[in-house]
Amino acid sequence: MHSSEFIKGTLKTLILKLLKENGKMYGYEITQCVKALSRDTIQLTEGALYPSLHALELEGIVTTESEIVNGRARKYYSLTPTGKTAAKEKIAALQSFLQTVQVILTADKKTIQTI
Amino acid sequence: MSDEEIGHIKKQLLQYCDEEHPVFDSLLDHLACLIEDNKSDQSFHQKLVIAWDIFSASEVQEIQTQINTYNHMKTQKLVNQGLIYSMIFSIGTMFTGMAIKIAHGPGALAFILLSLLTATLVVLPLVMIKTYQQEGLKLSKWNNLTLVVSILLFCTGVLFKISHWPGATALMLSGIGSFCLLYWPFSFIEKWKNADNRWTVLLHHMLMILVALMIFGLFKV
Repeated sequence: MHSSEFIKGTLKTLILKLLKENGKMYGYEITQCVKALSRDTIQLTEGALYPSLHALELEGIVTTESEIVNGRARKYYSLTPTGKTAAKEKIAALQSFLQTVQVILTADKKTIQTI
Repeated sequence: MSDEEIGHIKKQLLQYCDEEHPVFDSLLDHLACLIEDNKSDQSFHQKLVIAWDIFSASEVQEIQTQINTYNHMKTQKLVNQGLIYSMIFSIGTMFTGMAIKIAHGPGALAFILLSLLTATLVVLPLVMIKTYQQEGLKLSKWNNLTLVVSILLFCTGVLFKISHWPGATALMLSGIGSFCLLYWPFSFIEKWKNADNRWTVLLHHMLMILVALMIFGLFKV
């Protein structure tokens, strides 16, 4: 299981990536999708997911629509036109960051000492 | 899932979350999904207990707190934006009015009046909302408000005087009066109590009174 510290900083980008590919998703679906894609190593908690979704909604990045499913209201989240651009930028930024981290983590002793 | 079962989940959730809260429907659906995904032979109530264990009451309250914080930040942002735009508008119309007045052009008073109305009806209430949001009812904040009101009253009086309208003296006097009687003593007491260097506070407040008296004399109230 991955540390919640890593998830905290990348959660919004993960949500945006899923919404970009899936169109619209509801909260539980997002948690299950992340769980499956990460082979159970990332388990999103409701405490982290819903405040992030709400923050993205307030920022105008995602929009919501409600549908009645099995007798209850289900809130679907999807990207707004601004959100689509923001999603691309955030995904690219995270990928670039991860590559940089990878370079640092794989650097050998000799390389570090020559700097 | 039957309506009765949905009702049970709702009842459970209502103990920790307000039905009107923006996240209520999502949490209800999430809990229902957890129960639906439990394919064991357990009864609905057992499944609800398990789902609720995964969920945890503290988590629900934490979600509400975080979302309320976001909403509060959003309101603050809107108030700040409104304040900036209304201040720009008010200052802009004031300068335009004054420029027209100096050039003896027509419509100067309309601009000045518009500026004053914006300052009184929009800027000041927004300042009060912002103050209340930030600190609640604290003496220091009310002190700052009395300063804003005093300045506003005095400036309105000055503009009335320039325009030769009646009531200018009364407005300027009430501005200076509220500054000397409401703002100055409370500000002095509060800063005196908390100051590291009390002489600076004394000097600062004496200068304040001198400046107020100079302005008072300048406009020959």
